[in-house]
Amino acid sequence: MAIDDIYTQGIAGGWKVTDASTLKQDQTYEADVAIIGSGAGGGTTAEILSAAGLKVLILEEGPLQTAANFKDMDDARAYGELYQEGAGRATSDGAVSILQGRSVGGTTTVNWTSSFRTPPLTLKYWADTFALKGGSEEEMAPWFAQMEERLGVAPWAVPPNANNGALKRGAEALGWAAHVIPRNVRGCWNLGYCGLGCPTNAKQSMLVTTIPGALKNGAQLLHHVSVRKLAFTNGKVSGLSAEALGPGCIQPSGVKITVRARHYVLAGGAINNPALLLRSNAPDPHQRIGKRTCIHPVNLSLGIMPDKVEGYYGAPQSIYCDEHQWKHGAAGPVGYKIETAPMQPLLSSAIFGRYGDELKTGMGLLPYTQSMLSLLRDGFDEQSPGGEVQIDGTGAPVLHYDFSDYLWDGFRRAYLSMAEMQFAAGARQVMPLHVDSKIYASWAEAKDAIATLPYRKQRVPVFTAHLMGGCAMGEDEKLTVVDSDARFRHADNLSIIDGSIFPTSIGANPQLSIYGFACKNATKLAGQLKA
Amino acid sequence: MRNLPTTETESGPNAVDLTRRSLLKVGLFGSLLLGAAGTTATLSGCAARVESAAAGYKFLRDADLLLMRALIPAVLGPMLPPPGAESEALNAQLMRNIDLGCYRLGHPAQKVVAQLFDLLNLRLTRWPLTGISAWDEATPAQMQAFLERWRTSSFSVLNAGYRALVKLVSVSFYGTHAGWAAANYPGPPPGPFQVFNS
Repeated sequence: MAIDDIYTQGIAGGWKVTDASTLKQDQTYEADVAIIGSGAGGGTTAEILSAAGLKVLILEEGPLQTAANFKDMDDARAYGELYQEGAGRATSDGAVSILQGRSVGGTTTVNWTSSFRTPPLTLKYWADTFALKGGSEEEMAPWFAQMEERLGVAPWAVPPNANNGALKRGAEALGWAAHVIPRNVRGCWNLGYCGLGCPTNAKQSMLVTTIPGALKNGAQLLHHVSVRKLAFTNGKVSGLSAEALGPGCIQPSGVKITVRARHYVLAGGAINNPALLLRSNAPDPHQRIGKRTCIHPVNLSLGIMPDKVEGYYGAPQSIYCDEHQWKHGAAGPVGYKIETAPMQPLLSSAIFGRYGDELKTGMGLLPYTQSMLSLLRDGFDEQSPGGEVQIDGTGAPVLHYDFSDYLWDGFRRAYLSMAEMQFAAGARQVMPLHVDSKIYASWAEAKDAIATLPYRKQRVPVFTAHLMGGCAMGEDEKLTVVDSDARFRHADNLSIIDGSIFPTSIGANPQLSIYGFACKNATKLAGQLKA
Repeated sequence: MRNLPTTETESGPNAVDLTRRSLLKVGLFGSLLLGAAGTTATLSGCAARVESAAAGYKFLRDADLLLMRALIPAVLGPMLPPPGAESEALNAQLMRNIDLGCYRLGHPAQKVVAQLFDLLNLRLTRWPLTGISAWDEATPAQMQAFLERWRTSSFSVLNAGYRALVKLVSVSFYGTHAGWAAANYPGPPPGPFQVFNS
């Protein structure tokens, strides 16, 4: 039984989808709105603007891959082809590994489906600190509700897999609150391969929802195309130049693409948007572009359980623990959200970071291994200003990110919380993932070790799958790049609609935050462009 | 702690000095990894990455292949099949995976990886930094001593190199069926897999 890949039939029925790697000659496209990027921000915007009758062109750097590609459930194929830089993206000094999607649907094609509304304390912090208007809990509620309905967001009604079950058990044993995660799925098979592209179209990613919706409305999708520059003339964007990529989606094919549109929307994410603006010498009087890049820095802990966990099977994230997230409100020592990570072997080995016998023994225990991760809520304190996106001599993005004692303290506390929960859940042994850690047989032993481990770059392996900021929104023009409606301050016909406009991290997996703000801002933009 | 570096290759102020001098001399790997990515630093002349990739490869050069041939058993040794046709085929597959992994990196990361490989392939820097004079003569014990030395070094640049090398090799392996077996991972759930692929 082949799963319908949606696109074969759609294209046969007249959807305008072009693989730019097949183009032989330079091309010029015209549209009412050109949207750069097809992830959570771009997909949502494309559907809303096309439904309003606007002629929409979506430009995506990655390939179009569908359930027809995802049916092999193969991690090597998926990480190589669906992620930025073949999943090898990292910060400039290699201290933080970055997992970020790069295909039609962007990161939504490969994320783990966790869907949280922006926490009220985060929204309040944005209003207080960046003078964001229209972003209060009450004002945002209808936009979140609309997107939850569109994408089937609901608390996961199936019992958690053993990996998440252990998180729940550990939290409950310690008297910490654990809750069920809302997921954007319809008819989910509970397979556990969300990170490799959903083979059943159950995950309501942009790939199977808003992009097909936009295509039905007459939008055009051009993939395998890398946008190089926006031209700024007299306070407007006057055009966009791009390069078609070859079939492997890495090298330019030599074909140049020019786009002219009434309005332009950047939706390439928190690393690529600032890089494009910097390459384009965009007006930036207060030097805000690429600043305050927040990443929810992640550290992990592995617990060896007496029974099989098989963390590679079943919905990857279904339980979370916010016990340590908002203890002091938005401020105070850094808060962190505890969740689990799916445990297919390739990703597991990437986070394990050992060699020889240690690698063999540790990875050999994979079926018994329970994983926990902590997302640190960065950007809410002077000592956590986020990182900075710059470009190198070729115009490629480089993310610099440094850690202060404020964040190191957070990692230390997160290791403690995770190890304590894992032992409370029945783990026989726990290994905080740190270059100098060992496997500890008791909570007391782990606690002592965690207190004395060195906390610095390259000794704490840090990961991120959540890229936010770099084009902050708000009314304080000295601190922000776009206004509260996501309009770029220094060009009339440019909006930025995705996770790059968040002025801090979210404090929860960001996809629903992106959908909600995109829905609000795109709806307003549609009204303005139709007027 | 295992495979502590021998006195010959590391201990004493001389070795530390050599390491420091080598790093200063070469500079670039450190400066790039420490946050100056995007500068135009390159190894001056002698080891500039002028050769094209090795035949059949997109990124790795002949010298890198020698390094990988020594590195793969150091990282994966206990999991590799005994020498023979199976081992050769797996080795070839891993080299291709490593090559593709490097090829897919963006320009800034590629530059850092290239500089790491240059540093390891240039005799002037290889010995003081790794204690190894030639990759094709290195024993597994020497290779593990080198990895352990970089892992425990007080230079974060060497820690970064350790992490990059170990990650390159381990992800090249655990995405293969041999790697799945080593992780006792049964593969995708057979029922749904059959449904999708029949």
